[in-house]
Amino acid sequence: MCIPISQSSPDSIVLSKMKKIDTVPEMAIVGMSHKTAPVEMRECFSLHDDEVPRFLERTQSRGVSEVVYVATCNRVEIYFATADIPKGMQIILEELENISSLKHCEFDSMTYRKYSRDAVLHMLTVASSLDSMVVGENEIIGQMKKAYGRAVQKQTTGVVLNRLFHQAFKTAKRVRTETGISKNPLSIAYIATELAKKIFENLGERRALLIGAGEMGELILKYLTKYNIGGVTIANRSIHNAERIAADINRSARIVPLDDVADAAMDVDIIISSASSPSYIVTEAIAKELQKRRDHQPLFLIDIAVPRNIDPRIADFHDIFLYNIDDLKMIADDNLKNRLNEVEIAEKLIESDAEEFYRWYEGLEVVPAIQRIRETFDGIRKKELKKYRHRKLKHLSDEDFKYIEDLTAQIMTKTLHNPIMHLKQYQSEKKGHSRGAAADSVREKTKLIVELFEK
Amino acid sequence: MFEAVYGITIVLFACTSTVSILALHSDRSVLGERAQALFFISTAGFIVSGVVRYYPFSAGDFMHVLASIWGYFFLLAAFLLVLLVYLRFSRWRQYWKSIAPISLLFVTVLLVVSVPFINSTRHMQIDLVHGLLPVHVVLAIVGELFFFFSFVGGVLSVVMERQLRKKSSMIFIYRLPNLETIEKFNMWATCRSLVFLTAGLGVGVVLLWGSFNVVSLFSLKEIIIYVSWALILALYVLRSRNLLTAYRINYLTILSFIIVMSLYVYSNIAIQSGFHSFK
Repeated sequence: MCIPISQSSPDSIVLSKMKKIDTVPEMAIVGMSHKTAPVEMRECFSLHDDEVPRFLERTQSRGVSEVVYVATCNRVEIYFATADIPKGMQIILEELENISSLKHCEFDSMTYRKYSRDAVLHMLTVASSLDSMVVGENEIIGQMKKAYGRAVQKQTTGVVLNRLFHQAFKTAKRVRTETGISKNPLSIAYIATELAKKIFENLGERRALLIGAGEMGELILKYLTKYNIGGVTIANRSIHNAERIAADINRSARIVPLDDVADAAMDVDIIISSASSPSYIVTEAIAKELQKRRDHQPLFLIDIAVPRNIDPRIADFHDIFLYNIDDLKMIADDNLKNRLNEVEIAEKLIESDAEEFYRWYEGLEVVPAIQRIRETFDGIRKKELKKYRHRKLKHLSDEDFKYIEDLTAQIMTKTLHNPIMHLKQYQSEKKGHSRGAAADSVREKTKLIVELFEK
Repeated sequence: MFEAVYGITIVLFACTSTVSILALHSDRSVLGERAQALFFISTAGFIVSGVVRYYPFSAGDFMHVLASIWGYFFLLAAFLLVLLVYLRFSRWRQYWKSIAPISLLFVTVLLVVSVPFINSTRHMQIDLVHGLLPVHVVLAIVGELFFFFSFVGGVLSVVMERQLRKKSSMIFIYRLPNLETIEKFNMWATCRSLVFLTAGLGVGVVLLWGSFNVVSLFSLKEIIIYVSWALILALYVLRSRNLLTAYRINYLTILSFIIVMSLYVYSNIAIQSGFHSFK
């Protein structure tokens, strides 16, 4: 049997110690990812595009001031900000129960909850794709932008989440540009295409030959077509299959029978071979003939068939670059290793950006107090001036009265300078002491200053 | 004063080339920004060195600078920097990050080689006083420097081909231009090298004919220039007609440049007699 959500929160101690602010909302995240929950569980919480606005509106109307719903194939996360975090968490969990039709105890162990600094750090890590299944992938940032855009449209974001999401996009961009985390491709087909781009200047001026109808070969051809390959020839035993590939990928592809490979190879620059054949289809003799005809122009051969279709001795030929499936796999592994090496650098960037955000966020705490003090003083000043304008200062011209207004405003600013400076100073002292006695003492001092100036 | 500024400039160029090589190798944008800042600072240092040494500079001083060993290397470095800046704004600008590190290393080498001759009294005796003389010198120097750029392209091409054949991480492959582009750059540089050097030699022949009624005095320096011209012509023919694989032509380019440059430096430093030499 499930314990009610209000009593079951595992974070009750954390929540009780969290700051209670009247005006500045606290941030939190609740979610599940590929690391904590299987896909069958994650899909229960995945909302259809049409359902998201309703979910956002409902959550906000129940008292969560800011909320963004992010769902990708790897994660479902709800970012929210509200003044009363325990209540906000309860509302979100109840909404998750509604979405999934599951009791919270059925998914509780698979979710994670993060608050304040941890929430900021987590969000920046996710946006920078360090928490993704494929570290360094670029899709997550687009998905987060889409989720944020939807929330903005529904006006369920405010000062905290707006700034937090913008910070996340900025950090993700920094991580992408300042580290090599996204630079090395991991998929075999994409690696083959990138290699082609590193051999030829313009794929639009090149022709590719696909031998066989293997799935990976088709995928490589798909990528090459995406990069506007100049022309495609498909050589296959079954003309019907070749026509199907042509219809799927490149309608202008030339189709030839597999026996005509030698001739078809003569006018292409890239050969992708994935046919099922017991012997080599591209032999040393064909390669020699190709080399002779091509006038030392480079030729790119990709052999992803097992057993291999292209004679491996061709790899020693000048101007011919031959890659088999193991070579491509090795590059993918190396690229992954390099990406992981960049994680540490990315983490440092994220930590520093999270700290920058948090400094801004903590500053929010004293802003209302400063504003309140200024408003109180300004109110008194204006009231007294108005009184005097109609009595003892009647004889003054508007211009002269303006001088008095300016003078009183200056006196007020200078009088308030010290208390406001102290407030800001206490705020900076509080940095690094978000919990514990030191933080409490700073909070007390801040409170005292605010009270001194209140009626 | 001059020695101190010049020393600092050399150190700055050494740092710039090191940081730019590191930036290319590691692809850290921070290093790239630092390399760029260092490039501006070291170029400023280079200009200040020239100003301190030759202020006030007049148009007629060009040949005077060139007539000293130190001035000769200084001018070579200055022209290389000008060409490098030109490349920054040319069609090759997106490959500048790959071209600059080797070029800056070469500038450093030229400046280091010139150090022992800062106070050298050896001077080239200029027997020809003719308006075309600076044109001959500039064309020949620019021709040799374009040959240097084809050497840079050769190095990039060999590195790229090796990386592609190594079949390991693409981390370095990504930072270099693609093979076909490098080959186009090589052809572009070789072509310009041939044109400028031919023009420079042509002007030289005209000058000699006008003054001494001969086409050549067959000094060692002249012979080296003719040899380098012949090598560049051969490389141009090999490239344009695809007579060899790109890989082999690039190796030949690297080898040719190293030989020509070594002879060039040697002839300027060691030969102390005959036409064109620093006596």
